[in-house]
Amino acid sequence: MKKIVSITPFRWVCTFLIFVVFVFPTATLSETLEEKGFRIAAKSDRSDRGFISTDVKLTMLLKSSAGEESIRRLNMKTLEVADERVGDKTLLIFKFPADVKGTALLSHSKILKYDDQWLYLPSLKRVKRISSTNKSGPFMGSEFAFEDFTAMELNKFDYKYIRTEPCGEYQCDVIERFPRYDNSGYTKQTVWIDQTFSQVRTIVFNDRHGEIIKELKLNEYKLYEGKYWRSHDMAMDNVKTGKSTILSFSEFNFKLNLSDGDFTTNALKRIR
Amino acid sequence: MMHQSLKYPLQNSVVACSITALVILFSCSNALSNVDFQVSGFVSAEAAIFGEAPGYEEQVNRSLSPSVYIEPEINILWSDGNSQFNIVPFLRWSADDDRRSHGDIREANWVHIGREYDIVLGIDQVFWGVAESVHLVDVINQTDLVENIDNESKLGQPLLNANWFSPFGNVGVFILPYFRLRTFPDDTARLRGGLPIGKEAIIESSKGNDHIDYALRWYHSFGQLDIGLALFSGTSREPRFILSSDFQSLVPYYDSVRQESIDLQWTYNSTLWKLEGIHRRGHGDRFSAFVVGFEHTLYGLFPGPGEMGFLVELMYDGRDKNLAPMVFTDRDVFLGLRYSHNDEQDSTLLAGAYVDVDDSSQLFFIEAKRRLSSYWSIQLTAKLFSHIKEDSTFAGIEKDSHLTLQTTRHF
Repeated sequence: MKKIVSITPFRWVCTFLIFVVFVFPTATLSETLEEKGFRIAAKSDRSDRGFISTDVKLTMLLKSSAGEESIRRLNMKTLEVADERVGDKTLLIFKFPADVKGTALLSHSKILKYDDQWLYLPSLKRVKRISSTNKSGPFMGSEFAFEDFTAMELNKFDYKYIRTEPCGEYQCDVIERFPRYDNSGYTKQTVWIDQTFSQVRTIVFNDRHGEIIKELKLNEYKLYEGKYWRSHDMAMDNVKTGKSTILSFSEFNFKLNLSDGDFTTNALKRIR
Repeated sequence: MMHQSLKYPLQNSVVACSITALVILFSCSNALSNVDFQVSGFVSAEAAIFGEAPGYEEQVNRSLSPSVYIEPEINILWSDGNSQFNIVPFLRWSADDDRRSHGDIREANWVHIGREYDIVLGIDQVFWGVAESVHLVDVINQTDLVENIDNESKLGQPLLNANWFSPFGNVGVFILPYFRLRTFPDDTARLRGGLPIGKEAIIESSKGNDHIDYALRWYHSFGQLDIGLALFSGTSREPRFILSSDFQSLVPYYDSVRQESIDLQWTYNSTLWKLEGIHRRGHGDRFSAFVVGFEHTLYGLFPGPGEMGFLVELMYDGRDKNLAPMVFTDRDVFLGLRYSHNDEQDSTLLAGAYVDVDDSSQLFFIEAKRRLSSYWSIQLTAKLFSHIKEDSTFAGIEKDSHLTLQTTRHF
């Protein structure tokens, strides 16, 4: 009988190398498409962490299918809530058209529950707590729904990785995300995230019937504070109606000392 | 009890107050850089159309009654908006109602906002409450009744208001040093009622207009529940009426009252549950009144992005019929529909009906609004009185159902 082969240091090294070369990559490959989708989305979402607060002026250019144009102007203040289980706080102050000037909307975003929202009506000096269940309705008559441009919180969706493909000057991961919150106007969103900066470049929206309804292109990204990317031009096209809205942003102001106190109903009624 | 008889004064102290404030402002603002100066507002032209001849001889019998008004707003902001000076004058001309042709200073105030407090000094507009059909707890400002019988147009109230934002809710203190008399239609105008309302008024307090009223309010938000509790002590904004010595007109009589109130709203998914309740002393026996109801919104009801809200509110008022001001909301049901078309023109429609449970008097109304362009908007309102009984609050104006078309230029 032959002697049982003893495990020599050489064999230890070989076994280790075999593990490194074959087993370890297989473990990575065994990441599901869902896990990979989440990982890509999380990297994109977390690249924005720590911004604390911003203030920006928005202009919306609404175009009808016949080419008629109208303009909306508003200011948006955002306060980051670091806990991923809770959403950010936003304050939207309407400036134009003239008849809605002074109207303001305060939103304390939740992840899966309905947001807390208060509307300030300047003509009556009235702060009204409103229902936030209709996230999918048009925002100020535009092609954007409220759910399209409020903070895209990571945990509001389930994810799935689809493929990787070139997108303009970048290489993009294409993932699908599925709203987990109630009353979304969408069944699915397909998102292109570039591999260089992990920023969202394109979103295609499927409506409640599963059909493609809108396409959003996020352009003119600028870097703030050395780490926060912001798109300054978001073009939303409704492929069904031919209407479109271009949402453009002024320079973002990051150097603000905003706190929770700036996102209360008191602050809301003092806005001028 | 001393009675003081007053003429409707040219609101001298109001004017003096705003001039002082202006002087303070300009002496301060020159020294400050980074001042944000905003001018906005609107001019509006309206035509009221009455379908029936008026109920009383003295009233002008014209089916079309035009009116024009302007309400500019000047805001001067400094320290990032944490210091403000706001001025909102108001001026209306009415063809058929000399008392409706009037001016007011809706706001002329200095606001300072701190981290956990704010202070307002001057003339301001303050709204409290949650209900749509009746505003029971809203007591700070006097109603500018010649503007609209819906009680939603208010006269500017001189005040000192300090608010503290604590972790246990917001506490607001209001010191109200000057009382404003309610406005009423002229003797020859529509909507004046059976007897003309005289130019004189009586205030129960011996200090008359200068009695200092106080109010205290606590407000807090607990998740889906928003709750407010308030106290008011002072001259009632609601007058009752006594017959003049010649029995030819009515004299508004303003009692001193104390009132405790609660307003709460529970926002559950697409339904807003609302309650307002008051308890008042000083108008005869102490009494309570409340309004309770909900607003439920449905969308996707029609093709397109429109949404429809259904409103139901029940009103009860336990006040004495003789010793307290009359209200039409003693035992009433309010049913309403609110439609938002969610289009580019922000078209909205609110239609409602008040039905008195006891005598089945009815008031129907419609308010429809639409933007015409970036600076123009149009509004259509209608009020229809129906089955008005002799002892109803609306007796005397049952022939004054009307439709108003209004065009507004915003600037």
